Amino acid sequence: MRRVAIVGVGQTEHRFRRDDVTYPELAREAVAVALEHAGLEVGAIEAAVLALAPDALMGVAHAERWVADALGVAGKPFMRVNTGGSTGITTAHAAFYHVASGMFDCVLAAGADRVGESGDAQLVLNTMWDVLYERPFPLNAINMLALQAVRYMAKYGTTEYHMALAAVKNRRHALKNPHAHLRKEVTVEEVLASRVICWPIKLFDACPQSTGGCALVLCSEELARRLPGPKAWIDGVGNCAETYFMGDRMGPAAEHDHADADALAEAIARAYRQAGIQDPRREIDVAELYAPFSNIELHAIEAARLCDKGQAGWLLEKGEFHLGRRQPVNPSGGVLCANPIAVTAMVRVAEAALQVMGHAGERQVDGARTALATGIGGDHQFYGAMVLRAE
Amino acid sequence: MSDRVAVVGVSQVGYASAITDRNLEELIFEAASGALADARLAWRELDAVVIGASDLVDGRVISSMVTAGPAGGYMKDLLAVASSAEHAFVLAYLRLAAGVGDTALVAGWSKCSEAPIPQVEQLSLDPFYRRHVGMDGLVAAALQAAAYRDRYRVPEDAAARVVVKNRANGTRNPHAERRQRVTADDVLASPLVAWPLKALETPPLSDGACALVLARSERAGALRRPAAWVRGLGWASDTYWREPEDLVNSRALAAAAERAYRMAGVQAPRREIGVAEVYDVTPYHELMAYEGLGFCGPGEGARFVGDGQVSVNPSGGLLCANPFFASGLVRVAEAVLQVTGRAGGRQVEGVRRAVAHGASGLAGQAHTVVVLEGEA
Repeated sequence: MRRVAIVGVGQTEHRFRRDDVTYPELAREAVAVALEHAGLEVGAIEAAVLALAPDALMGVAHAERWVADALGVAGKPFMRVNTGGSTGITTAHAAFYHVASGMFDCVLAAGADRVGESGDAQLVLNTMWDVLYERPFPLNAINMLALQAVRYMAKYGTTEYHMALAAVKNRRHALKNPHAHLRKEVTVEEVLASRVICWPIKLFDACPQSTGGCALVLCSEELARRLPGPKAWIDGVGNCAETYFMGDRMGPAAEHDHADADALAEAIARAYRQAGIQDPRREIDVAELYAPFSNIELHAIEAARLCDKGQAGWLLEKGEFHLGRRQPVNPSGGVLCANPIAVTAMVRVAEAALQVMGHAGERQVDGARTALATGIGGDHQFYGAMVLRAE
Repeated sequence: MSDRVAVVGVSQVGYASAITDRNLEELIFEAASGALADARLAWRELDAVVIGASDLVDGRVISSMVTAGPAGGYMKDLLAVASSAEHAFVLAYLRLAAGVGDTALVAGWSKCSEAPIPQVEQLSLDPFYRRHVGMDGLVAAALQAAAYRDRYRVPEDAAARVVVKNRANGTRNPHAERRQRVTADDVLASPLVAWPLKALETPPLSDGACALVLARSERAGALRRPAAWVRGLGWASDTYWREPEDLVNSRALAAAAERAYRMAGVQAPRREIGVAEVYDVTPYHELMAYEGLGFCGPGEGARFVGDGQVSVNPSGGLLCANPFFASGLVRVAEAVLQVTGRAGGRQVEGVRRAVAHGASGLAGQAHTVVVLEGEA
């Protein structure tokens, strides 16, 4: 297969609202940063893929049409991907396939979201579910993952304390990330004492509603070699889709358990296989794992095979997965510190790319050469993974 | 590279103004399992699924969640494209051309009987300038038709002749929703719905689903099914804020056709293409497609109607069946059937190469062109 590299990464600041820019302007802001980082002009872009998750969060139907001008794609190939929360990484996959197919040498993956303006995002997300069975409960993204947290605690004997450890770690990391939305440290006690949103998820276990943009420039090996900056080589990509009904993930007939993220593990395994990674505990230097609630990070770490199932909480207690330790997870602060939904999973790819490029600033993991990025979308249903390597 | 991917399975369910005995998931399942059966491919052997899903048309947030399963996506490498179903076809092609996996299933659908399509289109307008004007897909198409008519002094009967041709073709397509002939007088006498468009010059809004199975070369050969090779592929978007001149001569269609033809080595489309399935959202758009696809020069569309060399829309086109979000993918499916000699009563004799054309967005902001070729 043709090798593909990320040669430019752009992010806006992520914060609650941006009243100074429209949606296309916000996306353009990220694109401009990515192009500057790559040392390319917008004219060098041959095709683009837009990351835009639920139209209803943006308030404009098929807003890919509106944003096309801002991405500079007039007269060029352009499409939009939407797999919910994993949209950012599946968009990066789509852009990867554009280049790997041999049809293009320089492709843009970009997007933006303004969740802070979407009113009650959970009201919108309730309409993900089946009209007759699950919508009237009413399920939303928080209580569906609270169910996961309860199941995980019941299966592995962890507690809310272990969830809090993930939140504390990520908030500490975000202090070093100028793009992060939440940049205030919290203690375990503060997390445990914060308002219950849906037990066992409390306010500080949860991601914010963010507004922000992200962009990636992907190039063929030939073109990448002509650019002076460092590259993040895309050595593995993988996706996997779970069942739609969460009830199908439990019980005697189920192939998986809602406590674990087996379909995420499969997506990551596909990416590892492509990248030739056999022992992730030794070969992965840093991971940016999509986890909108603290409990999700625990089983995402396990799905990445950075530790055994049920062990992530105990290892966090020992200080593992922190910046400065052997295998940092979410040095950016992760989704817990910024969640501009359409591009949140692209930010994972962007941060992983910055790490292997050595461009991650204060949050840089020393000597990071191989990084893993993941995304999760739908009702814990669509999983994506990408392995990035330095030269 | 261009000889590496083939379409080896096709299935269409519908199309009808309202399918009330099956829900959306059941329509998708029927289409996906039909395409796998057509390809003689077991679901377990399928590598990837790429679906084209619109939240707004499907009436729920992240509609790919409920549609991925019936499309065969469970535990598969699944991607969901939200700009149009023909873009899902493009992405499945790119994935296989990159050498990732051997097979992929593509699915698209719409259940327009349960979707307020005009409101969906209105909501696609930016909230600051255009939304309050009240424009929708029909009005945008009418403005474009008017600009084209005015620019080239297109006689009204040229549009009527396109409708008569496509409706006659639709009588031979068991999937068509409209299967009755009309005369030019019927068309011209039908009520005005958005000037200059008459009722019979606008498409129905249909229920239905369409699925295709794609395979890479060795695997495609091993399946021993009639293969339609993807020889050329182009897609492009125009700007959101367009000028009247861009409406008449779509730069996106020109770019898409140029890329697809270059890849396929097509130099004289009128001589080299036997069948074209084009996005005739109105008859004027079919005329514009003749020009955009290079069958005739700018402004010559009206004279090309009924051309003996290229058979356009033997399926009857959108004017006979329009499962909105999937209509571009249906064009690909019909082109596949033509080049594999499996188009039944609507088969055009001796077709080796066909071109499929899809469009999306108001006044065709985005266009996709696919060149397909049967076995020699």
